[in-house]
Amino acid sequence: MVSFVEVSKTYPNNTQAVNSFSLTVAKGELVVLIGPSGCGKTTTLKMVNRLIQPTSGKIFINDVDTDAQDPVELRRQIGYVIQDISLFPHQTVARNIATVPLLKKWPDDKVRETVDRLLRMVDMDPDVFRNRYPSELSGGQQQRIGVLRALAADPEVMLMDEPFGALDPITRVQLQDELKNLQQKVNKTILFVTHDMDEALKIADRIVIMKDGQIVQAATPEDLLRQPANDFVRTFIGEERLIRKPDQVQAHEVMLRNPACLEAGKGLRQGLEAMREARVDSLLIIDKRRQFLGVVDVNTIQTHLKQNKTLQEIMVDWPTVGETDSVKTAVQLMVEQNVRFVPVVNNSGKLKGIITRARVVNFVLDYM
Amino acid sequence: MNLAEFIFNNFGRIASRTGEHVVIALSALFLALLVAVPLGILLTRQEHLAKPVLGLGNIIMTIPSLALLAFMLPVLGIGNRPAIAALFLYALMPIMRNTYTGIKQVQPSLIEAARGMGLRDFQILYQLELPLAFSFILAGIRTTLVILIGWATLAAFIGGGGLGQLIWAGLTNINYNLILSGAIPAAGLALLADLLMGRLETILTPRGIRKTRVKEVKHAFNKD
Repeated sequence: MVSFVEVSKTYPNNTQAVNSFSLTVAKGELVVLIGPSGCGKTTTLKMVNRLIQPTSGKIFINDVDTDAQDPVELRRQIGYVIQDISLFPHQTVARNIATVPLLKKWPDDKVRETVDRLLRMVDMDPDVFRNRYPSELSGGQQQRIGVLRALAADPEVMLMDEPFGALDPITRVQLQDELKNLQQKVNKTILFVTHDMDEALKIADRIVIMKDGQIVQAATPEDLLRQPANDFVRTFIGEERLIRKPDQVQAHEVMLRNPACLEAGKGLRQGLEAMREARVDSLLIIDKRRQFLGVVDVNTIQTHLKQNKTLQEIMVDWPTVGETDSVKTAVQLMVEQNVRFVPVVNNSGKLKGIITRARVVNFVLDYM
Repeated sequence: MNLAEFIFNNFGRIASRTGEHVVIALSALFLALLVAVPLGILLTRQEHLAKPVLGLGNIIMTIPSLALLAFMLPVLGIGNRPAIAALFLYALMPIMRNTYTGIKQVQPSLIEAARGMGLRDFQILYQLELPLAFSFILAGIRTTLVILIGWATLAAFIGGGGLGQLIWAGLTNINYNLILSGAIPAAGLALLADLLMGRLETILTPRGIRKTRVKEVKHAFNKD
């Protein structure tokens, strides 16, 4: 679909941004280009729609040499989304989405239909949003429109240059999910540039790791995590993301960081209230220096509620794990002692977190 | 005779001087627009010319207006033509500079997005840069027009007519009524021009870029 053949780019000041880059992207594939800044990923992307002219090498789209095409006509056949909110602020949402269809002189009713269909595809009611201006939308909505604008003329290839980089984390994840869904619906060939490994792992069919203008490794997310090609890839992916066995993972990586806890000197009613607030049925009991002392569960509190006791007087001892112990140790402990959770403490016995059964299950799912 | 009576009795004369005044100021503005807007656009395309050309414009601004009018006399003779020519030169600079800065302040990312989607250079200019520079250009026109209306009173010194003629005649005869009957309409015209141009700015600016700052603040608290 898109193939790069020995593509290089040297800038007039002699920096070599891209060095003999060869890659073939299949139809409908979502390929993520990733690497440290200055690795040439954006330059590579912009050579596809000839915003940057390669110094040597060829790029083909559907076996047609892009060099042989008028750059303007070429660009109108390729969707393009960039990081900065790049909607035209003086135009309505509908007019923005219709940019390329209008350039291609589509008939009015076809343009209108397309705009409405696209808006509905991302669950934005056309009647509400059609005539809004970009400044009247949230950041996430603006970038949705940015993606729709790139999709409007139904291009086979989309180029996306860190499209979600400027968004807050929650919105970013939402848009990644939507892009993935969209990709399944519209089956576009997408080249996606990012420097966010989590993003790459989440959305990519194939990840291309670049360094100094060259490909270091090109592989599926799965293969990349299992068999990083070298140390650069290993550090770039991040040790914590590499696939490891449960005895290699430490308790603090899995634990919940803010377990429901209360100081030992508090009364039973306070204990009950704290449980209700945190929606839990057990409380971890600590002293003033956050040293872990024991556990009180809701039934024990209920039984003693009439008596004027402190939590310390009714709490029971509980097994714990150290924060550098492995997850395996924690699981063994939970099985042997038949408990539903274990508190995680540091060397001096301070409470750091908690590992619950649900947490272990999630962890296993994450790494499966 | 008080001022009101004076104005009433000389209404025809004042009106025709006002008309001349408006013609001088608007002709100069119109001619300046024809030259300064394309020139300002050109400067954004030929960045190396921007500094010398804008510098030259600044030099013209420093020539005292009366002196500039006098320079025009030998070239264009007397009448309103030399006056229009001199005011035209004054009007060039602010309009050119505002066109230039207006286009320059358009975010580069917008232009890159536009180019990446396949807009041609002239489409980027008239679909993107000019609309977004519009309020800057209009602001330039607004100040220029007000200045031109003020300076058009000097046209009378070189036989160009206008409200300056009433003021000039009043000064030589020490006739306060005459002076005021020229000065008051001139001031009124300037205020009126400012008001109308302000209105025009509001009407012609698309909703999306009106008062953007307020909206940005609002949206900072309004993310989804």
